[in-house]
Amino acid sequence: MLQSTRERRGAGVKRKGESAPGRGVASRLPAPCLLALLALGLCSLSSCDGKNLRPPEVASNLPALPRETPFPITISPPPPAPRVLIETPTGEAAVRCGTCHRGRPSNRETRASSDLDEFHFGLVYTHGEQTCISCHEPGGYDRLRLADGTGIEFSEVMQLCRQCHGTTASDYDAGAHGCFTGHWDLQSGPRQRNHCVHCHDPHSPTFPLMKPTFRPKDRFLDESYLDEIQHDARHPEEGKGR
Amino acid sequence: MNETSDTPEAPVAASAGLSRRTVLKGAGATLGAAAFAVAASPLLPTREDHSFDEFIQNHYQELTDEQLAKVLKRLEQETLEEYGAEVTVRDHRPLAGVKFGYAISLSRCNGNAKCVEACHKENNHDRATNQSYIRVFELPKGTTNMDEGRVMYDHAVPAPDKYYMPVQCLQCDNPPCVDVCPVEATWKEKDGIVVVDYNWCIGCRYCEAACPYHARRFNWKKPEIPADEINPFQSYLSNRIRPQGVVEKCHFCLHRTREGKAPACMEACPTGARVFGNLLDPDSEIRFILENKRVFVLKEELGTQPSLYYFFDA
Repeated sequence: MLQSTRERRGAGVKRKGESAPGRGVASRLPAPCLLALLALGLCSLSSCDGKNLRPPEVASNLPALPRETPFPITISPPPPAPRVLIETPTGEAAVRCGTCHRGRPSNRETRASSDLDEFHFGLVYTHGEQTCISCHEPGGYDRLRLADGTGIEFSEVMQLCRQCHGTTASDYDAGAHGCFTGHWDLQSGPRQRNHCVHCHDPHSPTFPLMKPTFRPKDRFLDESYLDEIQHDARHPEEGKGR
Repeated sequence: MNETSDTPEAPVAASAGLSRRTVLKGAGATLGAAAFAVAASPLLPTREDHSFDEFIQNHYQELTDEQLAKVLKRLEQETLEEYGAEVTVRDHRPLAGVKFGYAISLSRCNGNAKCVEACHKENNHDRATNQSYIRVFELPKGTTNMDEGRVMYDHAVPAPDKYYMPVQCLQCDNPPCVDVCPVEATWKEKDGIVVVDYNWCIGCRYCEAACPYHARRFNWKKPEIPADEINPFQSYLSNRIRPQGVVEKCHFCLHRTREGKAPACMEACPTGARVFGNLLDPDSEIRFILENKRVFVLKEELGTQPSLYYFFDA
């Protein structure tokens, strides 16, 4: 169905472009006649302002010719390697992971927030049942690590996501996931895209609940809202979650 | 047969004094004129807003370049006088080789309505009514029937067992709203956008009734917008401040998209549910979605052939 819809639309666009009035007649006239007609047409165009109508189909702001190199797509970099706030005798300090973890054996069994009874209290972890070192490099913890054990920098985190979320990653590459701001037409300007971790907290990747801040104010909508309340009163079983 | 002075047909001018008929006629005419003036008085504030130049203005598609330039200048002047804001009203024409398409992921949209707000600000909508070209319907899972949708929901989203469907003008290829317009004030442009000449519209609202998606809006009153909130980047067919008594609708932000930019609602979407692009470009994101995702067309059975699609993923 979609395919045929598109074909029909394509045909419609072509049809519009082809409809040059009088083309059939012009092709049957001899060349001198055509020249005379053309001259007449030019005269009438220049002399009579009233008939100098702007043809509605002609685009006056045609796009620039395709550039050799279109404008770039920039992916906003993820936040830098994390710093953890710790209490020191001289006050709070933000330190690298390695400050505590280097030289300390990593616990390969930790899988849940509740296991964190010594540090990182309150960390919400709802991302499957991986262990910490599924993603964090044991030892220094200042880097991440892929499933095959290769260490990567925090800035390369997208590689890590791609290991499991292949379909979403393909969608992201094709522009069907994650969207963009800037220009749809890269010949006109650049485009900016978010990184996975801008929308998804790696420890708890489900997109959070939101509260709508902008509500319509429309007397008809208000009436429908009243209907809705009455409807809910009649059918209380449907009104849950509202 | 005999001509007498009291014949009903006797010419008034012939009699020296005023006849009863003349007096009655005069009184009737005066009363009639007064009644008309009173009856028409609600229209007077509207008429004052309309300048003589606007009254004689031609249809957008028939304006010469010079006439159009004058019209744009006048609109800028009027905005400055009535709203105290310096704006630029331009005329954006369709781009060659472009047909716009829009796809909205119903799996991603969570009903936060940031798009509604972005549209409100971008397109200089009336502040008092929170007008916008977009409505987000909260629907129970299992139906795409808009009648079951609710717009005035006010709770954390997404609610369980609900999904959210933003509806704006779908820029149909077979637009019923265009068919019914008695004065051809609305038409479909080459890049697929259905536009309105706000100065040619007579406000009959046939198009509003014809649209199966409730996508058209009527300006019941003159939009009120503080000068510092007016978006100064305007276009004749898109977001210039509309007069009272005309119909308006989503135009895919043509003042942005015809410059290659993304529409305001897409840039505002925090969930990335919206994908906009050129349907004629086989490498575009929108084409990828149409070819790879589960796409559906709202009220497909009506044969409107929209350019805005909905899809599901993951």
